[in-house]
Amino acid sequence: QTRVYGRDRVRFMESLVVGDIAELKPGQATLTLLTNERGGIVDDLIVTNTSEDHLYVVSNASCTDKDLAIMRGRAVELQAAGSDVHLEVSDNALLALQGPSMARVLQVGLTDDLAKLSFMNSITTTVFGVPGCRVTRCGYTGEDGVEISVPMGRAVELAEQLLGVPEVWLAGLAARDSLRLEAGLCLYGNDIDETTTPAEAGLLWTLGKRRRTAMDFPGAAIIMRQVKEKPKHKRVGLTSVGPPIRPHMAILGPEGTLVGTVTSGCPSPSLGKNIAMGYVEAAHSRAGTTLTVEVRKKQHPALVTKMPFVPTQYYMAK
Amino acid sequence: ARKFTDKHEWISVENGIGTVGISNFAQEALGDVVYCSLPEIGTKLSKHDEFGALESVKAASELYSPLSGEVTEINAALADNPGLVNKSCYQDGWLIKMTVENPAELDELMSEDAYEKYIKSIED
Repeated sequence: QTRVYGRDRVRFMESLVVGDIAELKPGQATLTLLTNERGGIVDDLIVTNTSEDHLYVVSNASCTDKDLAIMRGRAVELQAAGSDVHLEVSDNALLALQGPSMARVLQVGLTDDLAKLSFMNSITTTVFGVPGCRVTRCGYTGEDGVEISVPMGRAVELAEQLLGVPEVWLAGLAARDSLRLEAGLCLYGNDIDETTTPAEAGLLWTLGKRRRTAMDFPGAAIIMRQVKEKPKHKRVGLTSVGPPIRPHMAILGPEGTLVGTVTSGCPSPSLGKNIAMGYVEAAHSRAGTTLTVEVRKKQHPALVTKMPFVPTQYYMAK
Repeated sequence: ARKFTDKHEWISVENGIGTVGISNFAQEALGDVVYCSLPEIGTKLSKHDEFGALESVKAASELYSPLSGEVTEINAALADNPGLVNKSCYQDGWLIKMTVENPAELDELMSEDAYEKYIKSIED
């Protein structure tokens, strides 16, 4: 978690990511992509225009060193040119409370009315007696939920308070992976990386309207050309029965030739079948196409399926 | 009497036929089994041969033959109910039955007590 301060913080952020950051209303957050000069995705992250004096950035822990080097480098560059921007890396903990009961459980510990907090909006408040928490209605599960940024010294206390409620459970890695995959959300390092572009990844919706015209983000020329000419490979969802589809398995086309590779996969607890993501040649990427996946030396049919695999339940205030 | 391998399979021989499964330690470590990949009846196995795999939510785990012999039966119930491997790993969750070509190989396997000691030693 990083805070970006200074009059030029928006210009700083937009020099690194593809989204319309200037248009974010106070308290509004967006998923955006850090791109490189080759149009590849360096990281996916959430930027919030806090109604205080900074942008709040949450990025992948696995990309910390890389992202900080890029952000610090750019800040130094801009400062040398007279810009007003500086970074602070937060040592807050981040607790995700996700699921249909979230609002009922959390409201008990908040004076703010959760009914007024929509998906992708953020407030700072006191949570169950812990002041200075940032509560953002977002998450990585496809369900209604919040991510609570809590000062490190009281994170365990807050976690234990929440876990004291009978319907709140700790969820481990496999459970979380199944949720995000059911929701069709990418995992950086698996489904997106520096060799995949937003067009190939099906993430063109993250490109800001103004930014597409201005072409003022890293790799813009390559990415906008792909928007026009359509990418040769595309990220797709797959469903199957039998043995689960796993990363790195080969995807074969109707002629039995290699047309792609799996990037994520697991059994879907909600659907009772296997779900997966992978990249395939554009010609075979239409929903409803039957392809073949090589699972442990045997061939199994897999169906190209629209994502999300399970409908999402994001909350919009009336 | 059940004998165990260091790969956490068990085999129980009766009237010359061995029933094979995985241990409680193994099913707990694996997590919920979602799919069982088992060999065809008639497959000839040598001791240590890979004869299939169990897929859990997290990962796939290969299965290795505890003895040399021929597969005579596979547990058909597992196709619709792979969770039997977790719920009843020593009874209803058995995997295959096989002939015992070389009974001397049984002596190379661990007794239940020896296996309990073995698990304790690797848990530390």
